[in-house]
Amino acid sequence: MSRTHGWSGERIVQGLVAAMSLNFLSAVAQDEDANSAAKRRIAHSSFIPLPGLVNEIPRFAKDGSGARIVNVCSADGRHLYVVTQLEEIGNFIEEPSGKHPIEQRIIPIRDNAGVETDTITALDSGVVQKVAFLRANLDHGNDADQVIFVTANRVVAKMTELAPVDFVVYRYQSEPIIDGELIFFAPFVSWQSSGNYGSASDALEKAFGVKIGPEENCTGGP
Amino acid sequence: MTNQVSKPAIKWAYERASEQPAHAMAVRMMRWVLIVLVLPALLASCASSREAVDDYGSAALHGIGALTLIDLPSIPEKPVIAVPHFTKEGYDVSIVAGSGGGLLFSATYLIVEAAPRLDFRTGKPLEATDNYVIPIADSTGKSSNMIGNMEEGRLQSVALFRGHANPSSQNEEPLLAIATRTLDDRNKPSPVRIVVYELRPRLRYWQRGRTNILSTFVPVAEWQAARQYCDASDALRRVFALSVNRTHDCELSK
Repeated sequence: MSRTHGWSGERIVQGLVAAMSLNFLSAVAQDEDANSAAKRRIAHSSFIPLPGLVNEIPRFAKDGSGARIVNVCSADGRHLYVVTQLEEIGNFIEEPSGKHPIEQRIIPIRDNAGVETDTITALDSGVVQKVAFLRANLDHGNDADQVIFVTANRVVAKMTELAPVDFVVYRYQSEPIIDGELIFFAPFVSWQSSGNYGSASDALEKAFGVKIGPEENCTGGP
Repeated sequence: MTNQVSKPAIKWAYERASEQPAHAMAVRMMRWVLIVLVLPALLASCASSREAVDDYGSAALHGIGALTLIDLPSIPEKPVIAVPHFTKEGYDVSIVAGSGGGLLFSATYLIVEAAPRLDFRTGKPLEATDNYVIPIADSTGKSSNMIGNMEEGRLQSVALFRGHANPSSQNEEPLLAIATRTLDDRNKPSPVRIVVYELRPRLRYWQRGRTNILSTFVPVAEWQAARQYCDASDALRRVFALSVNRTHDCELSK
């Protein structure tokens, strides 16, 4: 009987040591994640809150013009964003007044394969994910005060599990065309966190050194 | 009796035929072919032109009636328009406009419902509200969040109404109409397809341990306009007998 007790005690101690080791390793890994964005040429980040349906964002483009970010919930409970910018169009259609018509253009998101979509949302993999808009300096300050957005997706099946987080950072870009320029968001850099996290927001705060606040599910209660 | 009459007639016809040269016979055959094939086509064409006139207000023939048009936002002067008490449950909606798709003339709209957030444990509404985008489902069940996107080779026009989706309904309901024109040539008239959507009331369902909300525009009527149009919004204006903002300056078909 006492032998059995001895075994149990040994097991418990072993379990505790293993758990402490895992915690230690996880903490070490999370320390590695601290400001990991800076190692990828993204520095001095600040979070852009989007409290309303339509949010005016000043100094969005390099020419100083602003943009609007529409923040809504999709039917499946995820946040969905649309970014629009006022843009002169029709360089080839001269108005009699000399003015060009102005449109509120949706800025599309172009993936690495060149496919474009108009809406921004985190992947739907069964857990609360996060999209955050930030203002940051890119390329060691060569591209200063840029609006970027980050998708943070936890690679996990259950909400309660700790898991690594995949980050993809998108930057605003323009491409000259015959009668003007095309504007779009394109991936700038992507990586996976070293540590495991219980929420995508926690991982984002750690990697970018910003305060984002708790995640909110579009349909979730208190 | 029949035999007595028909036998001389056949004999006469045979003799006449054998007396005439082959080309005269061919001319006579052609005449009959023209009567049999071309006349029905001409009659159908006349019927078609009658239908073309009937496009005006023809939505009523498809069970869509008593329409009140809701203004859509203009870009960029007024990018968001609020419509109070729009949904069946009385919630307000905001219509947000942009232009997307990287092409000209492509007005794009999000219809957003301001509805209470739900307690995910009880499914009951809370004080806080969220802005939920109302998706538009097609007949196959696929849905999209934005409407008015210009598809490749097509041009669309969008109108939002309050009206009746079936003759028996008493109250005005939220309706959406989308006219899509096949754009073979921007300056030539082409067929226009009209789809009318009804706003399905909010359904609450559980998915992955949380309550989700689904308000959706679902198609309730679909038809092709009888005449061809040079502008999808012209088709909407004619079919619904309403004034709809034009999306594309194009010469109206004569």
